[in-house]
Amino acid sequence: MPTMKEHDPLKDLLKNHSARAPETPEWGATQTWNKILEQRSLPQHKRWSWLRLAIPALALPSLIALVVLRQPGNVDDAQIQITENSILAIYADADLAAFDDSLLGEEIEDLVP
Amino acid sequence: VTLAERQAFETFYAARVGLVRAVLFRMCGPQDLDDLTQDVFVKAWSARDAFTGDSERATWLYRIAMNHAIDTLRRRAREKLRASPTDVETLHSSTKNNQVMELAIARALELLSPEMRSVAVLHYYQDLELTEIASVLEIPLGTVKSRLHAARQKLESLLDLKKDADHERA
Repeated sequence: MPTMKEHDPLKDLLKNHSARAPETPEWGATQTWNKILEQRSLPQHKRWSWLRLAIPALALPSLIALVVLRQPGNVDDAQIQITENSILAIYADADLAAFDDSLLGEEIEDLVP
Repeated sequence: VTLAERQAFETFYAARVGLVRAVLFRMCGPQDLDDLTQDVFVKAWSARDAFTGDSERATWLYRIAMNHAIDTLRRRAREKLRASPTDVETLHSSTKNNQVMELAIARALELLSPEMRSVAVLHYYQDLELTEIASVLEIPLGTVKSRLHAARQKLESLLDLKKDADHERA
């Protein structure tokens, strides 16, 4: 693998022949700010977020415990729907600004036998 | 909500929107790019109190964007929206004019796993050092190296680069 200082033909190819992202977003700062305000204006119990994960049934008890542990303030509000091989955890996210659901996904994957 | 807070957000947004869109575009393509960009800024602003300053602010924002992109890719995979490998097989054997190559590269990136793609995007497009990539993705440096090596092998294979290099040497 080339070091950072060496010429890298693959890097050149990717950078020189890749389409560029459209520069101007349809929704700019104002619209994004309005969405932030819109979320803030909702009552806490209405600020739902969700997470669906496909996992084997054997891992479900551990997952439920994890969801409850991660949401100590919202246990009563949490709704958890379990199907044969997935779980849909719905929770109020007002206290979850730093909640990293991708991290939870990683941890759940680790639980998979 | 104060005017100062709104101005602070607008400054933050203007300074970083290009970075966020570039990462999301490379990771997730043009589909829902505006939605994804907005989601990342809403998440980042909502979580700004959690920013401790242990890392650079750009690293922190890269991390939020990457996590959101990886979540999106996993959701799409579950919804079976992934590209067919045959698309790339057809494309890379075609003549290498720019448009075809652009499509081939986009499809080749799509065929990397989200984990490999995130390392490749940060290395090849965002020019991050390997240690910075490890910090953004919160994975060990050795994992960054192995994922990058695997991504390189796959990209070179999908884009027929090894065959081209052999041909030039012959």
